Amino acid sequence: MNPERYDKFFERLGWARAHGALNDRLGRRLQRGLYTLPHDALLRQLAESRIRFLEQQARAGRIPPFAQPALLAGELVLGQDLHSSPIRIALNWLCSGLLTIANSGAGKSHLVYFVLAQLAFLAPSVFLFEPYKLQSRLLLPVYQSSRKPLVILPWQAWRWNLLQCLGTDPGQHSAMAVDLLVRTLGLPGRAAAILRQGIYFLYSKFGVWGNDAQRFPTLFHLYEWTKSQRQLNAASRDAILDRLGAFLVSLTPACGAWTRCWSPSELSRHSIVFEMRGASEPVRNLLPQSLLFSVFNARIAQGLVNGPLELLLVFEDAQRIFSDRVTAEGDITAFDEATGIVRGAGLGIWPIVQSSVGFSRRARPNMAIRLFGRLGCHEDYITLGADCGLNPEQLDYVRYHLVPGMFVGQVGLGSYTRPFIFRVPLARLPQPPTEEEIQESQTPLRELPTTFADEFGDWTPQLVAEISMAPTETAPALSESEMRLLRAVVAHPGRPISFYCLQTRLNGKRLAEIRKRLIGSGYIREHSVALRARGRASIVLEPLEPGLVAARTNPETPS
Amino acid sequence: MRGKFLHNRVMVAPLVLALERLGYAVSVEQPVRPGQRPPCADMFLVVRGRRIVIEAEGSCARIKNDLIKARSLQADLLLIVVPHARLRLRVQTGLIQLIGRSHPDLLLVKVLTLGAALRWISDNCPLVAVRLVAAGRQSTTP
Repeated sequence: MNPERYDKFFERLGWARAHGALNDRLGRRLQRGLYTLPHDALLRQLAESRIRFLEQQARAGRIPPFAQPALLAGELVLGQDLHSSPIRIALNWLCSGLLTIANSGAGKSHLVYFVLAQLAFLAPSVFLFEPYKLQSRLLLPVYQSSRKPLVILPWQAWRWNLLQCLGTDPGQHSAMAVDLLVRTLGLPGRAAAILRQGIYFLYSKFGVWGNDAQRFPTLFHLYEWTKSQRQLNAASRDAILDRLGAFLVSLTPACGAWTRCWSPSELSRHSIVFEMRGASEPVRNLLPQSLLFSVFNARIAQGLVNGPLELLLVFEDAQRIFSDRVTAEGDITAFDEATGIVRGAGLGIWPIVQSSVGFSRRARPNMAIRLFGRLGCHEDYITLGADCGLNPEQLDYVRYHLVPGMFVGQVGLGSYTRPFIFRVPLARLPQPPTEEEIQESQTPLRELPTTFADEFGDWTPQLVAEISMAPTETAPALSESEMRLLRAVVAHPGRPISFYCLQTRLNGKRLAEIRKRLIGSGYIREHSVALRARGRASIVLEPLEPGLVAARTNPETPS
Repeated sequence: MRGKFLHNRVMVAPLVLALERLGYAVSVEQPVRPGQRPPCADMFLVVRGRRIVIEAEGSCARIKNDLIKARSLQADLLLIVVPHARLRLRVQTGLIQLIGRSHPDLLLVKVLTLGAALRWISDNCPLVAVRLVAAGRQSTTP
């Protein structure tokens, strides 16, 4: 036999094994047999049939140019490779961040459902933020079957307070709150200084600086404080009142007027799906971000120790939250900074976005596990291909062969860091839970201690300007003739019309017109009185209070 | 006085002024009984031993009270003064109904408009009128 041919046989066998040709029971036996008897004709014939089949598939373009991943151990299954073998990763690897990018309809939500359904049977809690969809509530039956509570929390039922800093440094928390408000509400730079002043004042008023406060000011307190400070810069003050007022109107007191709200440490003991559908854009951005910062700060304050995963934060449609923007001062955002240090805090972040365009460039390097599915633009393929280390052949393959449910992954942890391709099994989604089940799921949170700020129960921003001025003298809205009659009536009340004709030197017809106008304006009143024993009754005039005031404030000028 | 402009300034004031010009002491707002806030007659005077109560009214609503007050003061004459003739007719109708149902007494009731009341006072005031009448009679007597 030609030894060169044998060498090629083993090279081809190695290629076929990398593509999963020996993954079944017979394949493993063949591998062991060829290791002990490399020249056995029967074993070679059986192996050759498998190699040729794969070579034919490769020539037909049906074999992806990806090696079979050596990700065989771990608690979490990401999916199946092309030979239906599970791809496993360690649960703690999620602490290093997991980024998923795929365009609409590529199967991101199925991937989330598949992974979170496994987490129902594992230790860590999950916060899942859904800005638009209501799909994750379908996880409720899965969590019920695992006897692990899952809270479905619409944003209206959230008891939230941005300024609550329970367990964290108030100074650091106030800086974070101001930065969040300025960025989310688009406030000018000077408004940040005003907000810092306001928060400092309110923290002093509530005794927060002593670190033992149980009640905290709310954004409604901050709004009222800004409203009361009329000496502040008018443009910045107006900007705060306009935008913060509009934000608070959309937030509603039922959600945001809690002097003691659910603290992040209390919430992190539960798995919660935050449904933000129907919220305004600032509410949709600010509430999750504030919770994240609070969680980050609380964990960091406890000390960073490389512990196991305790809380996984999943962000559906996270393009806005992880936006590639900068702070008001042009610096790195606190959020980007925090994503780099959460690994030691037992937190995992999983942003799910549709494109890498606009995604924070500072957050992307901190995501050790990257998954991407079908993409929509060249820039995404180039960027993610380079990030995941795809060669040109692999990049060409994924451009044309990724279908919904199929993803390319690259894990930056462990011993196998090459890119791989996998498929997420199609899940059979259960029926959505009823409204009663959703209400019942919130019971663990409702039992937590909270305090509502009753003074803001029916709060309104009062956007209408309050104009008040001291009463001034009545402008002479009456003509000179009318004033002449009015002065005569005030000077000689209860006299007949003929008397006033003589006094004002007006004829009867003219005086009748003026009299009707004054009566219509409420200055005088007329009475019919028979002043003589015979004949028609006379008309006597009575001055009323407006007439008295008008005559007093517009006295007759001496000619 | 408890009334308003028409009552006080237009009707009561000229009547009081006319009576005082004729030399009578007119009691304005005369209480009909003792107490903190008793009902009051607008005007009360005694003419030649006859007790006269004058009430100025702008409507028919309080006619019954006027009768009660006049009887309390044991008046011989109740003079109800109204602003115009239409109201006088209504008051007279109301009085017929009231007095017809009550027991007949010696109270004489007259309803006059303001101008007619002033004329009546000037004609029937005994201090001046008797002399005038006497003078007239003397002048007319051949």
